[in-house]
Order: sequence, then structure tokens, then C-alpha cells
Amino acid sequence: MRPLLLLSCVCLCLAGCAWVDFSEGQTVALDKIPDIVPGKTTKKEILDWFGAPQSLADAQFFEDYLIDRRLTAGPVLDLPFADVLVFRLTKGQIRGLILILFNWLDVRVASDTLIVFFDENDRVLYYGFRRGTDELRH
Amino acid sequence: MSSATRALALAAACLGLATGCLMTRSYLGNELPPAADGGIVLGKTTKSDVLRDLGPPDRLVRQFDGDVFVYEYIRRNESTLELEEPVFSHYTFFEYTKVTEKNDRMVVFFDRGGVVSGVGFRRGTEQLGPF
Repeated sequence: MRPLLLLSCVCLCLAGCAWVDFSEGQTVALDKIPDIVPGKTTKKEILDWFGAPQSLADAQFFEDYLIDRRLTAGPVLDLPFADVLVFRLTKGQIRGLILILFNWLDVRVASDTLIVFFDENDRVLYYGFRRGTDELRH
Repeated sequence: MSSATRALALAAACLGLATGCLMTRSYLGNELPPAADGGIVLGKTTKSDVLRDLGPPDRLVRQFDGDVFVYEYIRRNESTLELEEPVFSHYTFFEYTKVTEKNDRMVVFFDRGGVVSGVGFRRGTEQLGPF
């Protein structure tokens, strides 16, 4: 009788769980990154390979929301500069347990970011890439 | 009414008022390597070296004298306990919120030639207490 009562209590308290995944931005073309050669690759090639850079063309609904909720530091560049392009894919994960008296949330936000600097002739000066979304749990 | 029954009734009343507590644990950004500033030598390490070893910054700040790379990883623990009238007015009798935020932050300053002129690193997430 007692286990049944306990089970009933647990069932009454259990309202559900939350499972949210979101992403914003374009997937960075990983296969093209080894093709970037400083001093040789042009801005046109970079734009052809990776598409529109962050802050210039991407929809930023989630980024605005994350900034508003203080869940991200914001875009890499506040202002667009001709000699730097940033390509970024941001992913977020929320896992939650929703009970009547106790709620628990685990929030994780990470991003894949490619940044490319150009010289005065619009050729790649240097670049950096970091893959952060692998750290998110699946 | 015995004292035990009274205590039980009080506990039941409190339970009825409690709409609940919320605990949130947030991990924001990409974790920095253990000795992120270890390989940086002032006046020698270049922007290209930093980008190769640490990847792109989370923020790029442009100054008159050169760029600044900011790397940041944030962890935040948030706990909220709220007591409210649950049916009619939803009047909140009591609310308690505790937010603890710690971050690992590294700032790298470059001169106009793209060579590191300064670096600051602070690892704060280890100070975050148990959830």
C-alpha cells in the first residue's frame, strides 16, 4: 500500500519535463577551412565558401533573446569592419524537470566560430576557428 | 490539538502556499583551456598565434592602438523559492532568489602590428560553489 501511495504522490507532482534545442546562424563549412591559405585566399572566395557573415545578414532573433536574458556575450563584432568577417553558428540546449514544488533547468549555450582577417588587398591575413558545439551533450 | 498535529497542519499550509522553487544551472560559451595564457609571450606572440592556439575570440574590440581579443566562459547558478496564493490572486507572499555567476575571462591586447602587448587571465568558475 505504501509504495502505491508514494507512486501516486510522485505522479501527482510530476507535471512534465522540458527539452529545448535551438540553433541560429549558418553551419560553418568545415571542409573548406583547410583550404584557407593566408596571403592567397581572397575575400570573394571566403564569401563564396561560407556565405553571409554574422551581423550583416543573419537573422538574430535568438541572439537578441540570449543577450536580453544575459545568456550570451553578444556578437563578436559590434560594428561591421571591412577587414574582419565572422561566421558563427550558435546552439543552445535546455533540459528541465518540471514538478509542482520543484523545478530544475540546465541551460547550455555554445557556438562554432570562424573569424577571418584580411589585408588591404582583401586577401586573408590570418584566421581562427573554434568548434564549441561538440561540447553540448546529446 | 497536539503540538505534533499543529506542526503537521502548519507544514501542510506552507506546502499549499509554496508554488515551488526553481533551480537553474547555466553554462554559457566555450570553455577555455586550462593554461590559456601559458604560451603567450609579450612582444613576441602574434595575433595569428593566438588565433591558432585559442581560436576566435568571443568578442573583438577595436581600439586606436590595436585590437583586443576577449575570451569568456560563464557559469551561473540560480535558485528561486516563491510562496504565493495559488488559486485566486496569485499574491506572492515571499520570494527568495540567489544568483551566483562566475566566469573565466581572458583579454589579449595587441599593438598595431598584431603583436601581443598585454594579457589578462582570470579563472573564476572554479570558485562556484556546489549547486
